Order: sequence, then structure tokens, then C-alpha cells
Amino acid sequence: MDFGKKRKLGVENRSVEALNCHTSSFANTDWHQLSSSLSSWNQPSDTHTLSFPKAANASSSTIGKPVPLNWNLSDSVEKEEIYLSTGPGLLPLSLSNFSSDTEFIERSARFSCFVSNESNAIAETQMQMDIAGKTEALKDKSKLNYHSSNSGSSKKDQSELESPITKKRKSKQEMELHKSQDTAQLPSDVAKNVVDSKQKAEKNSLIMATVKPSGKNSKVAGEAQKEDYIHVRARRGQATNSHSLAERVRREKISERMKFLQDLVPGCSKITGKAVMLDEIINYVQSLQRQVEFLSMKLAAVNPRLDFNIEGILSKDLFQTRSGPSSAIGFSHDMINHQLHSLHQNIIQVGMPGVMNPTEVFRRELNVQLPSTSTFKEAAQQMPNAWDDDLQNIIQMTYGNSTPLKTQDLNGTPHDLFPL
Amino acid sequence: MKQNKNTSSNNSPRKASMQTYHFLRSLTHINLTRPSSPLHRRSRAIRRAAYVSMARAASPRRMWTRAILGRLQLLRRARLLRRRRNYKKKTTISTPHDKLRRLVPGGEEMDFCRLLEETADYAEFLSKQVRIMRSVVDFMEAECRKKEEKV
Repeated sequence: MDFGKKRKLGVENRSVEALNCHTSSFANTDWHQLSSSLSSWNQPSDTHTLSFPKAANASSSTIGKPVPLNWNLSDSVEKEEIYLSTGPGLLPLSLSNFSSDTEFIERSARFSCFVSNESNAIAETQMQMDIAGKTEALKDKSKLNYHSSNSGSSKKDQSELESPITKKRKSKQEMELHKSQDTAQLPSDVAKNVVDSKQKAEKNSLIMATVKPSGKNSKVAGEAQKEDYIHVRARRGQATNSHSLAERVRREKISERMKFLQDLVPGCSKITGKAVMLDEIINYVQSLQRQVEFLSMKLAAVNPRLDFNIEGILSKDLFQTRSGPSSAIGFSHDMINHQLHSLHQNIIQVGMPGVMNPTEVFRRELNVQLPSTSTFKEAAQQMPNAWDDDLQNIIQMTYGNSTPLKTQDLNGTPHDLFPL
Repeated sequence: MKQNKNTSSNNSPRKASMQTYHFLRSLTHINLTRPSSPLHRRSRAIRRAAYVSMARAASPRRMWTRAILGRLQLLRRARLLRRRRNYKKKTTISTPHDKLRRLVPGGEEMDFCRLLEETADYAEFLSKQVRIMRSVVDFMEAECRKKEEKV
């Protein structure tokens, strides 16, 4: 029933990932701290057992590693029981690290928030704890560990832990949040990669931190109550209110994007602060738009004098591509052959860095082209449909290896078009 | 105002060149059809062509591309129906992000996080477009000068 559903949802890399992150991050010391901080997992403590964050610091590598959780969840495990079935399965590691059942319970309660499924959540947390307690070596091998743990020892830890939280799980988002949480503590680049990958993988779904307090789950609920999306772990010394957690993730997202924008907008490397940065971005976009408008007016003014030039250029390109394969050297068109050759050469030269190259090329093209403009026009009219592929080839060659118009700006354009 | 028919099935691997291609095509189209129309109209059409070529070259996943292309469709339909509608929506609650929202097409109904993302993408394509246009203008002017010199 639940497990079946959970398996579908949970048996996803992200959830395991999250687990791995957490588990690896947890050191034994944290456990102890946690256990000590929590008298009972039932109590709605706000788990400032934010030893978690410490643990998170300990392990960083686990982040971003999808570990498909094969929830060998025994169906026997019920909601109220802790993820035992799942937990043990995950942890090949001995549970020797558990100092006490109370600790275990506490942790499980805490982690349960990270798991959408009730039992799964508990199991995950438990597993996390176990693994965390185990070694940090698990960080990098979270995948394997999880797999093995899942398949291996099962239900070792079947202790009666209650699954306080009933949440649906979207493992991916869990992982995302986890990662976004952990990233704050982890080296920025790792975090960024994680978050970036997460963001890329995920739609930009906000973290829905909705609290679903249920009786004894209040404690766990307090920790990180997300439903459907992302699980965030509270950092040490920070409020674990679900809203604040979601907000924190959101803030991190925003700051990350601001940094990216900072790189994009020229001359903004030294600016710190969102407000100033925002103003700069607005100014930049405004200036760009004004430039477009101004240039369009200029083009409108210039164009009437050069009626057929553009057409000629394009038709030239057309002929060029049409007549030959992608290598625009083999021109078969008689009347345009040598012109195309020169054009091709010019186009190739365009590939060289520099702003002026295109204009030079165009100039050359025009000069070459002028005598045969009429023929071009006719030819252009004859093959209006061949443009797409041909021009693509031409353009490809033209702007092939190097940046199209400006090297410095368009260097990575083919790849950076959709950076986010 | 002219309408730019940017119908192409380009699968160019070079998106920047796609942008160039679209823009040059629409520019040619503008020049061919009604080259004698008043300057402001042509400039408006060219400006629209610039934005549409930007949007075409960019990913349709983006909100701003959809907004621009949607605006194009609306313009066409509006022109058909000889009606112009203003889509100015005044947001009652003013936030520091309002200005940015107004700048980026389609930025009204996005949360701030998404807005930043869209802004980055939009700014990138905008800068590319500016470069393309500038080079075309330079080329044209050089050409003009050469012609004048010859004469």
C-alpha cells in the first residue's frame, strides 16, 4: 500500500542522495549530541540538534550522488513503526553506532521529515544516521552503500520507531533541498554544482514547506516539513521552522542567481548587495533595450540606400550552401563560383576573432557581388526554400569554430545559451 | 507596420548564428516589402524583428521567449482585427523588483527567483542581438561609404 507508492516515489536517486548526504554528514559525535539534545523523539523539540549541520559539514561528497533507494521496504513495516524495514535494508553498516535506542529514535524522528513517506522517511533518516555514524567513507560511495544496504541487511534496525511524518515524497526535490541546504555548509563550488544540477534537473519549484503537524510528529514536523518537493535540513543555530527553511533555500537560490548575473553584467564584480546589483542589472537591461531601439532606427535609416545588399548576401549564402556540401568550397554554380569562393573565404575569415571581420567580409562580399546582384536576386527568388539548410551550413562555417561576431562575448554561446 | 515572417525550420547548431540568420532574414523582408514606408514604422518593424529573432534563437522553455512570440501573435491578430489593446498591468504592490519585471518580457507573473533566471537569459540574448545589429549597421555604413567613394 503505502510502500508500493513509496517505492515508486522514493526509489529514486535523489532520496537516497539526500539520505547519503545526511548520513555521511553525520558523525557519531553528532549523534550523541543529538541524542543528548533530545530527550525523546516524541517531543516536539525544535531540533536544533543542529548537529546536523555539523554532520553536513563533515560530509559533502554525498551530495549530488543519486543513490537509488531500493526500498526493500518490507511491507510489514507500518506507519507507526519506523522505517525499520527500509532503514536496515539500507544500512549494511552495523547499527553498532547507535549508542542507544533513544538516539536512534530521535534521529529517525528527525530525519523522518526528510522523507515523504512516513515509514520511508524514518527509514531514510535512520539509514542516514546509521551511515553517517558509520563512516565518512560512505560519502563517496553513497550509491553503492545504499544499494548494498538496501539489498543487504534488511530490517536490522527494526526498532520501533515511529514515523512521525506523513508526507508525500518527491525524492528529487528532497535531494534538491538537501543539497541546497548542505551546500551552504559545503564548499561553495560543490554546493553550486549540486544546486545547479538540482536546479537544472528540477523545475524551479519552490519549496513547499507546509507543516503538517501530527501529534507526536510535531518535533519532526518542526524540523523540515516539506511536502512534495524539497527536504531541507535545518542548520545549526537556525530556526527549523518549515517556512524559514524554505525561505532559506529560496534565498540561496536567489543569491546564486545574483552571482550568475553578476558575471553576466559587465563591471559588476565588485558590487556586493542585492539592491545595488539589482539596480545594475536593471540599468544594463535598459541600456541594451535602448541600444536595440537605436540600432533599429539606424538600420531603418541606412537600409533604403542599400536595398539589395542584404538580400544579396543571403542569397549568396544560399547559393553557397546550396551548391556545395557543408564545406562551402565546392561550388558548382557557374555564375557564382568564383564569387562564392571569395565569399567563402571571407566567411571563413569571419570566423576569426574581431568585430570588424564580419563587416569586412560583408564588404568584400558586396564588392564581389555587385556585378552579379541581379543574378543573385533571380536566383534567390528561385530557391526560397533552400535557405534553411544552406544558410545553416554557411553560417555554421562562417561562425563555425570561433565566435560569431565578438570573440569575447560569444565564446561560449553555443553552450551557454541556457546556462540556467 | 510590417510583419516579419520568421518561419524557418532551422536546426542550426549555432544558436547565435541562428539569431543572425533570423534577423537578417527579417531585415531583408522588411527591406523588400514597402521600402518606402515611413522611417519610424520601419524602425519599429526592425525592432520587432530583432526581438523575434532573439526569441526564436532562444529556448522556448523560457518565459520571455514565449512572451515575445505571444506578443507577436497578438500583434498579428490585433492588426487583423484592427484593434490595439494595451496590456499594461499596474501592480498595486510595488517591490524593488517591479522595474525588472517590467523590463523583462513576461516577467510579471514570475517569482523573483525565476525572474533572475529569465533576466540572465534575456540579457545574454539581448547583448547578442545588439552585437549583431551593430555589425550589420557597420557593414551597411561601410558599404554606403564605399559606394559614395566610388561615385
